[in-house]
Amino acid sequence: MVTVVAAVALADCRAIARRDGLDAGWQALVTATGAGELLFGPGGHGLCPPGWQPQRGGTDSRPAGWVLGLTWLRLGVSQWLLDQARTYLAGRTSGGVPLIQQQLVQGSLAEAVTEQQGVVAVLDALESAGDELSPSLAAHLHRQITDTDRMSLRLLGAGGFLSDGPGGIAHLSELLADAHLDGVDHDDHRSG
Amino acid sequence: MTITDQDDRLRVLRERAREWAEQLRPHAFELERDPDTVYRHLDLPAVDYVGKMLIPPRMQPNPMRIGDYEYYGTTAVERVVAAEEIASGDAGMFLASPGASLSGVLVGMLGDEAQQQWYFGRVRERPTWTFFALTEPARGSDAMALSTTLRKASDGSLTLHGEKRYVGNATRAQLGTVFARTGPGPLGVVAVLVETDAPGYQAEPLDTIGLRGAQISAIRFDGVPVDPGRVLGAHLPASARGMWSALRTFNLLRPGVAAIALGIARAAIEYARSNGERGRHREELDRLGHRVHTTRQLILRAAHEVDRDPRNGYLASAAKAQAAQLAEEATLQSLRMLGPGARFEHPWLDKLARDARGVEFMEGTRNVQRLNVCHALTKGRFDDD
Repeated sequence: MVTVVAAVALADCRAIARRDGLDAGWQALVTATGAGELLFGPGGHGLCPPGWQPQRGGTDSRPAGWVLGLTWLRLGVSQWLLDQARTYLAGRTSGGVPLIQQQLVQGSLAEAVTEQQGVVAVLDALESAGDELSPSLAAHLHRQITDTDRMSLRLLGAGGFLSDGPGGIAHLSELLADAHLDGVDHDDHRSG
Repeated sequence: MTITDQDDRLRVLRERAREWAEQLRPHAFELERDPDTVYRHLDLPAVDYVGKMLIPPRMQPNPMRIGDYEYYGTTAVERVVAAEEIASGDAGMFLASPGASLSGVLVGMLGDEAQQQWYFGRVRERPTWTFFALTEPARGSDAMALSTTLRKASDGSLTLHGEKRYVGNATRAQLGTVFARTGPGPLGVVAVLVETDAPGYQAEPLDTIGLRGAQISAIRFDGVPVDPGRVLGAHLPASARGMWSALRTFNLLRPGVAAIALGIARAAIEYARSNGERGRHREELDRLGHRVHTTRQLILRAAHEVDRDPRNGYLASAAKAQAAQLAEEATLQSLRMLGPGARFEHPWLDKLARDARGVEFMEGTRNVQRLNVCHALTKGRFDDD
């Protein structure tokens, strides 16, 4: 089993998930980390896409880079989701004006992309410096991603509540974070 | 250089600027009461550094030196590191300090060699305050509505007429830059260099809630004479000298404004950590701490981006909007953590909360920044990362 992880491959999970969606991003994460079996998080829960055949049974021993890769993956999914919202907003009108030209909508889009760029900046800086992603910072970033996804979902209207489509993918992304993170975004990080 | 604040040169600057910031705090309230306090503290290293910032290396034989490194403040990345630290000491003193500031960036961009030598020579010679006058009463910085005019008499002489508002340091400044109209439309706008001892120049400070050291002022130009040699960018095409140059100047300095907001936020969090009941509000403080970290990385990334290409101000808009929001949130949340009467019991935190309100308006409000960001998003600027 491969335990040394190429950072660039982990970062690739983002671009792949943004372009091709969650399933493709997941496959990239599994390849990048060499996770050949079903992984369980700290609470003993695990997720895998339908049809995925783990080489072995389950384990709770996460390969190196798993949480960092999962963060890149969920960021890519978040960007995919925002792209879906942009496409939807460009095609819908209200009072004859495309929704994407409404300033309130533009403000929400800007906030969402700003939050995503904050995560990009933190992860890039971590990788450039060769630093570890602490559990607390990971939890914080995942919370930021989830909050951003909720912004995108609000822009998708009731369509985002359907299981089939962006709303369902956003739900899966939340489940991934729930299963694999410690869930506490405080304790080991200080300002300054 | 990598896009992190771990780079040794910046690390050295950050550590030293943190020490400088400590020396500002004892003077902060005095500066609020009497903005002239800055004249008595020109030897403080933070004030000295800000005074030297933005002078191009070829015109600066005496930059700030720390260890083996020299600092000119000519890159956005260097400025954001210093600005965050100095503002965590006192944003008011940072903004009250002499130096080239916004107008220096503009002169560096538009000035011909003689204009640059004159302007930066003045700033280098002795502590010199400068101003950047774009915003007008009731018109903000709307280029189309700009109505200050540069009139040309039949003998070719030029005079400036109109009003500007919300201009930092305009009352104490010796020189600055003014945007004025020479004709209709966005191309009919130029920037000129003005000396404040010229006849017809009148400035007075506005009474503000916070950042009082900055002496945000209103200016009247009643026929201020302008030497034709002081019109910036005469050697450039009209499209490059008017509002375009103002936008680019804002792009270059916006990450620094974000960093000032971040410094205020950090100061509030650090204060609440040391003055609150031990153990209480730990989660809240830790979340704010993470928010400081992510905002800092976004600001650094935005600074690298404008250093790479000054047209790319959209990340700087994102960073500034986020930092201004964090400054307001962190200061208000810290006050709540300290309980009823915190505004009275903890005047330092009250000052930070007042200062935080000011950065919202510097270089464009959050709403304007968000519209910039959304514009960039729809143009595909965020498609690759």
